[in-house]
Amino acid sequence: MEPTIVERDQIILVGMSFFGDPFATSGGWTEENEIGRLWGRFMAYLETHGDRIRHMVDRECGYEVHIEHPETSAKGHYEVFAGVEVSRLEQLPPHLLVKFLPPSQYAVFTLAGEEITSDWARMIYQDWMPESGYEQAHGYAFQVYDQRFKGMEQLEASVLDLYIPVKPLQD
Amino acid sequence: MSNVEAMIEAVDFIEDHLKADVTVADMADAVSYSLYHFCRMFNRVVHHTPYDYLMRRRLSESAWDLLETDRRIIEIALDYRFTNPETYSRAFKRMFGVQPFRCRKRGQLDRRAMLSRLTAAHIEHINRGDYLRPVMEEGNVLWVVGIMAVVQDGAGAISRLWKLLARELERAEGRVGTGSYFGIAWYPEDWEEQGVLYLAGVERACPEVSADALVAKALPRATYARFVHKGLYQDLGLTQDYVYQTWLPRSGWLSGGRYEIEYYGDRWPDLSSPEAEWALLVPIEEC
Repeated sequence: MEPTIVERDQIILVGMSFFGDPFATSGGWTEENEIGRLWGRFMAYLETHGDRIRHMVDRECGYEVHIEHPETSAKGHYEVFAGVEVSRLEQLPPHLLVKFLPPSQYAVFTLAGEEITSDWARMIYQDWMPESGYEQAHGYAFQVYDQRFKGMEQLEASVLDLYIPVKPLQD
Repeated sequence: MSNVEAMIEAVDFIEDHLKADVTVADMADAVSYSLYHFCRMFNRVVHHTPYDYLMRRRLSESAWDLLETDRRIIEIALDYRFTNPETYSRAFKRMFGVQPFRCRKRGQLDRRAMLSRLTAAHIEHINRGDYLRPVMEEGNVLWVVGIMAVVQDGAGAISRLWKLLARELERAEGRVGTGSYFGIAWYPEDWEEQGVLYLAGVERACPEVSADALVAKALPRATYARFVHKGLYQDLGLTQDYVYQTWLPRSGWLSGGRYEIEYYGDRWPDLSSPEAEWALLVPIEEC
């Protein structure tokens, strides 16, 4: 699993958030865990009120951001944010939140099929990163779901990109 | 190492650290998983979040200390890494419905509400069946006719009751009877010392008993969560632990009575087959 290193400007996302153990009700990769429910909520909003999101870059391209908080390592609680990118921010309906991801370098890993459900975080942070000359730049990471992602029921045929914010290791 | 094996190891790690400062990240490290993947797998295999398991086990062990030692409550709280007695009391009350000092005063706590240490047998059992989602159903009033006794040693005594029932039915009715078979267990407050009341019986249209040894018992109208137990009768405890300690606390329901029903359908109960399967109906009510 070799990543490509890319530069990205500030990314503005609008969407919805969950905080807690995302797998508290069901550990399986079904849509019934909290992440699946979060996407369900956001997609329903997009369906009915998508026109209220101005300057949407690509409706078919979903961002899932996992944000580490102080409780994350103690309790396994994450913030998970599901949303879409906008090119600039105007008004925002009260149902939605906004996230500004800072300009950063990213290591981009493309996960295909079973890699999606594997322990990729371990491969990246424990196996790849120490050998790479990079370190983690920010306490979040995100996944991009576009047309190449066919759903959890068609995992073998699915592909997604994983963005890990990195910076070159200082001596 | 399979995920189930790894999570059994993780549970052992937690058990060794109930009185230590331990984070979920430490648990993940102990089994060489990333934190994120660990949370996913622990939930899938154990059906608790790792943090919830840690806290419930700490509170349950602290309850034993309250009941069986005379350590001061503040010392017990600090032993199990609660930062102060207030946090401890609140968490304790949330789990058991009483304050620690009241629990000590009463000198007892229903063991069914405590989370016991999950063994490899528990975790393998959870992963053999589909326990995550029981079916909710309304049970109507019905009559069960059979033999009732106080049982203390579980499987052995219950199996003798069923044999006795077969003999009585055959003697009185000339055959082992037809209808649906029910094993009903009532838990008196002091069931741990005194035993459980168990009725081995068959459903009847009316409370008519055909032999002197038989009793008739009405089951009340109630809402039940229906679980399927797979395996030996003596492993029923694994299913019960799951129901009361893992499923019930996060189900949004309360226990609806101090009894539960084994429903065997129209097959005579086979208590000694590892392939057997029957329903366990647990009365529940809305919070």
